Amino acid sequence: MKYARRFQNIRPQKRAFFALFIAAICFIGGLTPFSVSAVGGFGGRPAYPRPDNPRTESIFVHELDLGDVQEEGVKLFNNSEETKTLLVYAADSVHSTGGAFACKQRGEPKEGVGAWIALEKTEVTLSPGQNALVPFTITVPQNAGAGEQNGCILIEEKKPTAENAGGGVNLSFRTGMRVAITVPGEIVRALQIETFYATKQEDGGYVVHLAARNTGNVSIDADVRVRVYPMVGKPFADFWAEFPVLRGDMGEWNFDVEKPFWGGWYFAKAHIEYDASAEAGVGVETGSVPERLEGGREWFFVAPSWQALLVYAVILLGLAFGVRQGLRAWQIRSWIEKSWKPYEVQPGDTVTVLAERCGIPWKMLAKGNGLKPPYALEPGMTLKAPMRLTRSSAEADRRA
Amino acid sequence: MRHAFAQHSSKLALVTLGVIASFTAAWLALAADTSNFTQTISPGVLRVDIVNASSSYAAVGSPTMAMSPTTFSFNCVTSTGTFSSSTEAVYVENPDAADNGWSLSIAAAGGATAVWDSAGIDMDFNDPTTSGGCTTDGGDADSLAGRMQIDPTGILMATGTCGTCGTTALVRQAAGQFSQGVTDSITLIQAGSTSTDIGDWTFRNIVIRQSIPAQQAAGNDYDISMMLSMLAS
Repeated sequence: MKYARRFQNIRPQKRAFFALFIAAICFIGGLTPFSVSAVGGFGGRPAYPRPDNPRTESIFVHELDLGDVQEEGVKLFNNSEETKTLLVYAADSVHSTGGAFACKQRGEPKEGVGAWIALEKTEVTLSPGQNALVPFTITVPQNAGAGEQNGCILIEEKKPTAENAGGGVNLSFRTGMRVAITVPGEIVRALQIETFYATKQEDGGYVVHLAARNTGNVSIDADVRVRVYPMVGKPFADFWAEFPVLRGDMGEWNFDVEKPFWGGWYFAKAHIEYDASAEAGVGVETGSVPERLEGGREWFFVAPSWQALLVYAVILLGLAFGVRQGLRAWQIRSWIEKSWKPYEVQPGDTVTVLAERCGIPWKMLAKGNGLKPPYALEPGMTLKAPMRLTRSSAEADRRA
Repeated sequence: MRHAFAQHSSKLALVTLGVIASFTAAWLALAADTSNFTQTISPGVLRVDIVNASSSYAAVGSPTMAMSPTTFSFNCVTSTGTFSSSTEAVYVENPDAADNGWSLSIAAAGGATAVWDSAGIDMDFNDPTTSGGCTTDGGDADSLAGRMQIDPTGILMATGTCGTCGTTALVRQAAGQFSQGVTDSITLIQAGSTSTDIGDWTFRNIVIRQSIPAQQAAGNDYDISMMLSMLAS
């Protein structure tokens, strides 16, 4: 009712416009279908993730014996707004700098896990928003060695290679998933820190570099932690992440340390923790006490910023001034104690007159004798003065 | 007169509103009887592209990168190029498709035996042999000299359109040179398990340096195809 009254109070022209506006909104809202526009890429995901291993949502993980055949599948998605023809293929893993996981190219010969994988399809055309399952099998050969072997399932768009008429680098893109197959046997899980150091950057910051080698025969998920401390106090920077270090590879990580405002001496500490139990695996943690590797301490000096230098300069100047004042006060105190002689105040003596006769500022005389405002002198008081005063001020005036 | 017109308009609008509301109610009632609202959200997948990062993040059709021009020389020279500019960037997307981290690497699309192709004499990109500070032939099976270095140390990382993702646990790798059979892939970025599971990022300033051997034949058509791979690890 309240709102109806308010509506009635609105001027008729405005009411008409308001009603038409609401009607239009209702009409448009009623007719427009609910839609979600999907803008994204294309690629694949494991078709059969296992609830017992969350890693299988992103990559393929299996423990397979010699001669085993594992049925698997990759689900391809086209989340782009165009129809795409996708190439899906298997490849061997390959060493990449920093020890990161990488895969060989489509045309390269396959000798490892890439050769163990047989895909039912290698080319799939998908409309926008469509997906398709591509089944494949993994067959472990009889001569496979114990430990973990890695390969890849890769997806790229089928399109002619762009020729760059003017020369240069043509870029193509692909995405993929790791295929980690562990063949039972003697499993060795061992990691060792190889290097840990800090290097200065052009911007004055530092990069802390840590490298660890996997000397075992399975990959290790290494919890890498690097902390940077000032000489005193809490950590200035803290990096933590888990990275896989592949069999026979060396994981290398560079952590950027921004230039600290105040500069000074800093040190970095690093440690790596990993599950050393032979029962651990890709995505499988045993819960045992992790093996801990210490990287030691790495000291480095960072020059302060110019603003901090300015602050330091002001503080130093202040300190220098304070020291100078303190030294002067100490000298005066020492002079008063050693050289000033007692004098009995005579009628007519004042602090200013006595100070003038001694040739010192009246404040020094007052301070040297512990006088407080209003600095009144009583005849008979004993003061200390820097010279032996034998006459009263009045007598001295008369003689003058 | 004006008042009468306004009253008439008001009535007309109310009648229109009533008619539309009736139609909408009838449509909704029918819809309720005949169908349920359904919606499918496809799982996201990893994505890597070169995009126009200045505005729409639209993918660049056929991305190429020009190298700095050099002149025929009796000495070895180095040509440089940078992927991505102020407006274009390498773009990666992880929509919960790689929960335990991912890597972004680059390699020659033709594999370890690829070369800088030219109508004249080709040039290698992964021969590690040097003599007197110059790249020379000898370290691999082909009879070409030349070596490419990828330097991701100056990468400028930024988040894309994601709301809450950050660059924590995204680690830039050191510069690396290709060497046939030894270093066939160079990692640009490695994302650890603590990196954001749902996020998108742009990377700029990835530098390529190609060592050109002395007396390499002049040509304006040297090209090579490189593959950027984003892999769930």
